Amino acid sequence: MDPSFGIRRKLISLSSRVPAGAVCARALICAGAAPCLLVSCELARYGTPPPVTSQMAVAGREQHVEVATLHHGRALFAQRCIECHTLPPVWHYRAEDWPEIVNDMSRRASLSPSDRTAILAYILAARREL
Amino acid sequence: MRKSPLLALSFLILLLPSLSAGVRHFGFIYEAPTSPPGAVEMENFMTWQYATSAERSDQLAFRHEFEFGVTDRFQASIYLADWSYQNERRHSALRYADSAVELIYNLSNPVVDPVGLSIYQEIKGGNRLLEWESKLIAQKNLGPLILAYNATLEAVWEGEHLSGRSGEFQQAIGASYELSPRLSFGVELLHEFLFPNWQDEKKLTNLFVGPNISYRRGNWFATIAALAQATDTEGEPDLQVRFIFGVGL
Repeated sequence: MDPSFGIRRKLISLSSRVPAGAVCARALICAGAAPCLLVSCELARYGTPPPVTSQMAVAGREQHVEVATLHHGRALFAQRCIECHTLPPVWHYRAEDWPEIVNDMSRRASLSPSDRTAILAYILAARREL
Repeated sequence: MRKSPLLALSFLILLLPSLSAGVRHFGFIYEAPTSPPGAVEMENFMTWQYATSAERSDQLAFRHEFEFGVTDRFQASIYLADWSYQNERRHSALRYADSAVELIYNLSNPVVDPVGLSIYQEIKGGNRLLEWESKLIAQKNLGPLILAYNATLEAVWEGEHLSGRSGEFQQAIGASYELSPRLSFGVELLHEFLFPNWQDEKKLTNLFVGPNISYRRGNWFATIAALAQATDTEGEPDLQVRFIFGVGL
């Protein structure tokens, strides 16, 4: 006996019970799910800006940066940057590029020199944690 | 020679110091983030409404708005003037419609919080017109994708002694994907429930859907969105195209 006979019989009995419209709907859902899954995977790479950790705080102290400054930097990074564009992940640019990027954007985002320092300290600390 | 004032103005705009933010990714949907404190921005809206029905003619509406970032969470705007040019069958008319004050308070952040929320209040007054508009703005940023939702409740008093009254509940949802920090594109959908004379007897609903594209550079941005009517409501525009140009001052 053909071993696939049982499976084929099951499929035939299933297809005779499920209406054609439902089969089409399921196929459409499966077809739509694939790109959604791909987009979700792509978006998952971004996430939220990493929270300030104890390691960041320790590293910050070595660089003479207060924990409060890192917290303030994260809050500003998440708030001011999204007024013009979506938030880039801290790994998106090289560490040596970030000072110029923050400097360029600071006027548009109404950042004071201390705000600028805080954002940059947070980004570089978060980057080191990756 | 006639082009020189326009060229000079364009050159001046490009030379303006960049001191503001508040880019709009959508044409018909508000976003939750507010402008940073101290920022001042001028936004100009131009909306073309195309209608084929006998009840309505084409209209070109303009808005000139100044936006001020007051605190990190609070933003105030003044609509200096809403005015329009209507191309009617018998005659064409240019008319001033209203001026308004708009206040937005941000409650949560669309990146670090589960949902970014803002509340919006607008009070509009004009020639025999008073309008009260409240809005809840929700937004979620997922990497380069912005998802936004607006729920709007609007009450209008107009005409002689402001005796005519109408209401509207509006839902809008949109998505915008950033191809680069300068360029984004997306789609927006607008669902309106109209209550003439604050009654729901006629069950008037409109659905509009269409694409948007936004470009920003330096201290300016430009956004264009087009909405086509998916329903068949008489007296409502078949197509609306809105262009917004904003510049930091």
